[in-house]
Parts: sequence; C-alpha cells; structure tokens
Amino acid sequence: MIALVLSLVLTQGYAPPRQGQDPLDQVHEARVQLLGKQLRCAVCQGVSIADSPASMARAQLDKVRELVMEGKSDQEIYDYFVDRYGEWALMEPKKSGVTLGLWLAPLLLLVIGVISILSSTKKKDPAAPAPAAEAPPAEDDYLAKVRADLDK
Amino acid sequence: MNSTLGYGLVLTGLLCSAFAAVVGIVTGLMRKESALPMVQKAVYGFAASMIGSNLVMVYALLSHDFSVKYVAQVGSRSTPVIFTIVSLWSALEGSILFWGAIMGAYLFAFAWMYRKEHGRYMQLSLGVMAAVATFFAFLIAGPANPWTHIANPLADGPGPNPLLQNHPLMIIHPPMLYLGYVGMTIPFGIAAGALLRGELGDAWLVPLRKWTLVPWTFLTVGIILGSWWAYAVLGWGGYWAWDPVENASFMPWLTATAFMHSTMVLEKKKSLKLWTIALALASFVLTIIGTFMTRSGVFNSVHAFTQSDIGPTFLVFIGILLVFSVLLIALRGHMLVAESQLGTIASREGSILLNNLVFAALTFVVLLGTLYPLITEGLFHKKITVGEPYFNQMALPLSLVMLFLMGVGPMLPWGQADPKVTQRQALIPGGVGLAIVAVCYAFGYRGVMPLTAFGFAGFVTVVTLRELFLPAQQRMSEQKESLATAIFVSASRANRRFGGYVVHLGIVIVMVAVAASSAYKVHTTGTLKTGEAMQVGSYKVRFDGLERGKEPHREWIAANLTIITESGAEKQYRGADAPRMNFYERSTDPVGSPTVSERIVSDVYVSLLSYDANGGSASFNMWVFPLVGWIWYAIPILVLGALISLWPQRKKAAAPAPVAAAEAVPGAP
Repeated sequence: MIALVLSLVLTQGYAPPRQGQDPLDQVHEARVQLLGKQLRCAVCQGVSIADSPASMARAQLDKVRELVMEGKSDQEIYDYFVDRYGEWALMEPKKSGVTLGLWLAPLLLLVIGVISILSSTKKKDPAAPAPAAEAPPAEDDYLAKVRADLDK
Repeated sequence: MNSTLGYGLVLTGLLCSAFAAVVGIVTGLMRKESALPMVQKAVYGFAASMIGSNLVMVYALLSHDFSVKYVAQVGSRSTPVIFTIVSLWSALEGSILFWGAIMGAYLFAFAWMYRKEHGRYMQLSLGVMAAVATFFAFLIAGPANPWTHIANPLADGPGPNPLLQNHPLMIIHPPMLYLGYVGMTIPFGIAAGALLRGELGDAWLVPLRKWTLVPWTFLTVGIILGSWWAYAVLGWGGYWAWDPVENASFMPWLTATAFMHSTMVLEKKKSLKLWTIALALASFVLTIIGTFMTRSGVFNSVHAFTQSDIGPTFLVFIGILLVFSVLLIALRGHMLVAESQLGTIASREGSILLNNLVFAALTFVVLLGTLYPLITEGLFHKKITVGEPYFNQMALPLSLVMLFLMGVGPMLPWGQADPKVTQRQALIPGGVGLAIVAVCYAFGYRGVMPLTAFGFAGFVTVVTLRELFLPAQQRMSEQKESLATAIFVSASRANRRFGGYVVHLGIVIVMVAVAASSAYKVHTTGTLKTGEAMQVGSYKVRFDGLERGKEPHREWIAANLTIITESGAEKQYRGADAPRMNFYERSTDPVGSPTVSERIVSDVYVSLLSYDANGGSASFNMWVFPLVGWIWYAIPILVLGALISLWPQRKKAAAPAPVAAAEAVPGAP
C-alpha cells in the first residue's frame, strides 16, 4: 500500500512548477538583501530572511521588495515588521530597554578585567635592569642566544 | 537477545562507574592510596561494558534486528552499510550510547597511561570522572534507553534522517565533536582532583595540559568541519550563523584555548593557579551546557533532536556541576596560592593575561547572547532575537585584539620588556604588516576591519616564523647541521612551543580566510532564461536549463549550469552536481542544495532561489567568496601543531647537555 502511494506520488511529481519570487534589479535588490539580513525569518531557527530558503522567508523577503519599491525608508520597513511580529523580528537587539544589558555587560566585564590585570601586574620600574638580568633563569641561554642574534 | 545483552552491559557499566566514583572519592579524601587498584579495575570495567554495548548496537544495526527500539527507529534495510553504522549517532539515544563508549575509551586511556604515577591525585580524579560517567550511564539506562525490546518488530524501518545522509562530512563531524566534548571530562577530573586534594604540583600539570589539548584538537576539527558542512550543504552562502548549538561548541573551545595559555603563566610564574583551574572546570561545564542545548530542544535549532525527555535530568546535572565547581573553588581555592609576582603588563605574562581577558570576554558574549532571549522571555515575557549582527559586532574587535596579541606575546620576555629591544624586534614584523596593508590598499581593497586583520596577520606570521626557525638557524650555524636536521632537532627539543606556533599559523590562516571571505564576497541575485548568463565577480554563470530527478527518498529539480572563468575555461554542472531544490515527502518546504565550485583563491557558490518550469527560467543567489576554503584547509596545520605539542618528551634524565635546557622552555601556546 505504502509502495503504491509512493509510486503514485513519484510519477505525479510533488514538486510544484514554480517556487519563490524573482529578485529586483541590482540596486534595489542589494538594499533588499541588506534589509533582509536584519530581519528574522519567522519559521526558522535564528536565521535572517535573506539567508533562509524557507517559503515563509521568501514571502517575507517579497514583502521587503514591495516596501522598497514603494519607496519606504529602512526605518519604516523595520517598523513594519516590528509592528507585526514584535522586537523579535529584529536580528540585532536594540541598544535600549531590556536589551541594553546585552551591549553593556561585555564592556563592563572588559573594564573590570583590564583594571584587575593592571592591579595584579607590577608597575613599570624605570630603573629596572635590562630584561636579560631580570628575566628568570628559565629563560635559557639557548633562547637568549636566539634573542641576542635577533638584536644584531 | 541483543536488547538483553546490550542493556545488561549498560547496567554493568553503570555499576562499575558508580562503584569507582564512590570508592575513588571517599578513599581519596581519606588518603588511603591502597584502594587505587580497585578504582582502576572498576574504570576498566566501565570502559569494557560501554564499548561492548556499542559493539552490540552496531551488530544489531547491521543485522537489522528491529526488535531493538533504536534499530526500529533509525534502521532500514535499504540504507548503505556505512550510513547504517553512522546511524549509531544519528538520533538521540544512539548518540548518548556512543557518548558512553567514548567516555569509556577516554577513562581507560587516562587510567592506563598513569596507572603507576600520580598516586596522590589519581583516586580523586578518577572518582570525579567516574561520577560524570555514572551520570551518562544512568541516562543510557533510563531516560534515553536505546535498548527497549519491541515484542512484535516490523520487517523494516524508516532509516536515518535524510539530511544526515547527504554529505560525507556528516560521518566525521559528529564523532569529532563528541570526542571534543567528552574529552573535557578528563581535565575536569584532573582539576577537581587537585582542588579536592588541596594542592597542585608541577607534575600534575602535565596531564592536565595534555588532556586538555587532546579534546581541544578534536573540538577544533569538529567545529571547522561543522562549518564546512553548513557551507557545502545548507545553501545559504555562509558557514557560521551563531546558532545556539554552534555557540555551544565554541564556548568550551574558547575557555580551553584560554586555559592552554594561562597554564604557561602557571608553570613559569607559579601564579594564576586558581584561574587556570577554573578555566578547566568551566570548559567541562560548558560542554555539558552545550550538550543540554543540543539535546533538550530548549533552543530550536537544526541540531536539536526533537521530543526528548532528557532535559530535566540534564538540568539537575548542570545544577550539581555548578554547585560542585563553585564550592570547590570557594572552599579549596585558598590552598592554591600564587608563589611569585607577575611582571609588568608589557611582558609575556602581561600579554597572556590580556589574551585570557579577551577569551573570557568572548565566551561571556557568546553565553550572554545565547541565553539572553531565554532570560527576557522568562523575566519580562518579551521575545527578542539575538542574531548574527550582534555577535559579529562583538566578536570582530575582540578577534582583532586576539590576533594582535598573537604577535606581541611571543616577542615579549617574561618579567619586564626592555622597550628598546622590543622596538627593534617589532621592526621587521611591523614593517611587513604595514607593507601588506599598503599592497592591499593599492590593489583596491578597502575597509578598516579587513585591512587591519591582514596587517596584523602579516605581523603575526613574521613573528611566528622567526620564533619557529631561528632556533634551527642557530643550530645550523653552530652545530653545522643540515636544514632538515636542525628544524627537526629544534622542534623536538621544544616541541610544545614549536607545535603551539604551528597552531598559531593555522589560526592566522583561518582568521585571514574569515576576514577576506566576509569582507570581499561578491553577491548577486538574478533571474536567467535558459541559455542566458550572469556575471558574478570575475566569473560568468550560464543557465543551461532545468532538469528533474528522482531518488528513492526525494525528488529534485536542478538548474544545470556552466561556470566560465575570466580566461574562458568552462566547467559544467549537471543534475546532481547542479544547484537543486529537493522535495522530501515529509517536508512541505523544499530543501535547497548549492553548487560550490572550489578554487584555491575563491569559491563560486550558486544556489537556486526559485524556478519557473513552464517558462524555463530560474532565479539564483550567487556568491564569490575569496579564500573561504582556507578555513577548512587549515585543519591539517592545526592538527599537525597539536600533535607536535602532544608528542611525548623523552625523559630528561639522560644527559645534562647544555642544549637539553631548551626543553625547559615553556610556552607552547
């Protein structure tokens, strides 16, 4: 039975004759692709509509094409999608509100890190002897030779 | 029959690992070293049972024993033998069983290799590793049991997921990642053993370092192969999407890489002990969090196996791990005190500290970006997306700093640098870097980020090559050795260092390839009628008409192409080699597959966007990616470097010849 259904399907062909929409001319299409990169495909997993092959994403990209041809600005196009799907539709989280933390927390970490590194290392000592003398003994003579060679 | 045997072996493994964990940790804490042989035997028993259970599963798969639940789930009589074996890890239960076998192999190798050494830590470490093994054995025996017996088996099964059958990379990419993930158990055990014991001697550092480098190597290969697969199969013209699962494999890689650098400061300066140990613990905890992300379905992802109930078990385990790690560090950390002061910021240790900061920051960015949508949804009921643009903006500057430090670090001595010496040393590499930027600019390449990357890459390459070959040159002039001998001897005398620099070169290649392929890619989309051609970069692509094809599990429509180079050379892509849309019965959306014409300097990448079978036209997405292939071509270099570093050193006892001092050179990064 399964084999019968399968053979029917295969002879009929389940590939539709047409799939997706045509791209616009070069200049407009380039803008469509850039905008598409910033908008999230609704049915995919964290992929933008410019990158996704899903039919839903293709349809959304067609909407972008439509809006571009209507002469809408980038911001208007983003707003169009945010109004319908919420902030979720933006690939890049906003630098305000709840998502501000995303942008600030790593910077904070870097600042704390740099401060703690500076405080755990020695201050520069201008009167310090040349590194060869100060260097620990494990800076073996083999390497020292190499370095000396470099300095020639 | 197979079910009973396989499940029996799993239970035996569970018993052995639980026994090893309890006895190892208890006797270890009591410092009764006489119990070690018992622990070792139990570990061997665990390894044997787990590997045995996997062999039985492979046998069941090959003999199409559909009375075993897992075989009924993924097996099929029509699947080729190689994919039947691969289907061992093509679904949840099998992959966790396979995980058990790798765990067994690692534990066996570790316990056997040091069977007569490191007695003071061994019980505790083996005990901790066995405790992790117990968790996985419990998963296999309970929530993810592949061995359930089916009373009335069907005559045939559905076969493994078709997406996993379409590319040979799928055969090696998952095991590589598993080897990387599971392997982090060993450094975790070693580090936890040291903390439980409350000391960390130099001798114990050697296995800690080596057994981090082993899974690091597998993880590196696994990650790059995964990106290659995504590029060659998925058809969206990219190789890295900051997908939660990609992130999950990247985080332990970052912390393990940071570990490999901070361990040098530990050896040299007897400082940063706690930080280094914390990195080893974190690498393991991140692999478990990564596995949870992959396997529980919290994140929707290409990788998530659907409908699994192992999530809660994993969450409990992650909780236990976090509490255990934090407690260990809080209660035992003070025992690992620094024995010397670090030098100034302009020193080897200073550059390694900065390197560790950058790695930690990047790990934090990736973790934060991955978890933030869960946080906002849970706390504020707000759904947000943290996508590629966020990660790229954060990761790019951090990566450039990393690249820069790769050049600066090796130039600086330990302790304090003499500015004059450093300036002199930086002259040639810095000059080469600037020259590269100038040449690129003259040839019309623009952009601050990519040009900075190329300049830094040139700088790092010169510094690295100098560090690699100067010792050899020294030998040639002093010992009158031939070039090959000199390189071989100097490399084997300081193999960690030499291997580390080879890895650096590989990383430079990857970074240049990433920068060039993302900054200078050419992208065009267009619709062509049969016989028409389109220009993409310096290539011309001609559409030669649509072709339909059928395979047992799918039907496809291909757009036959001819790619024509500037010099007029033509290459045809027909049918299965041409960009296609594949129609699977199970899925309403077609699955595209691209055509990638690989070249040394650039790839031409064409995927089919849409077609009109009646009008005979098709729309394409076309890219030219400069140098992109070098991301994957760098794999052999990275592996070679890691192998050189791992190569066992001859015991130093032999002769105290002056040259032997080179062995003491620390510094395989």
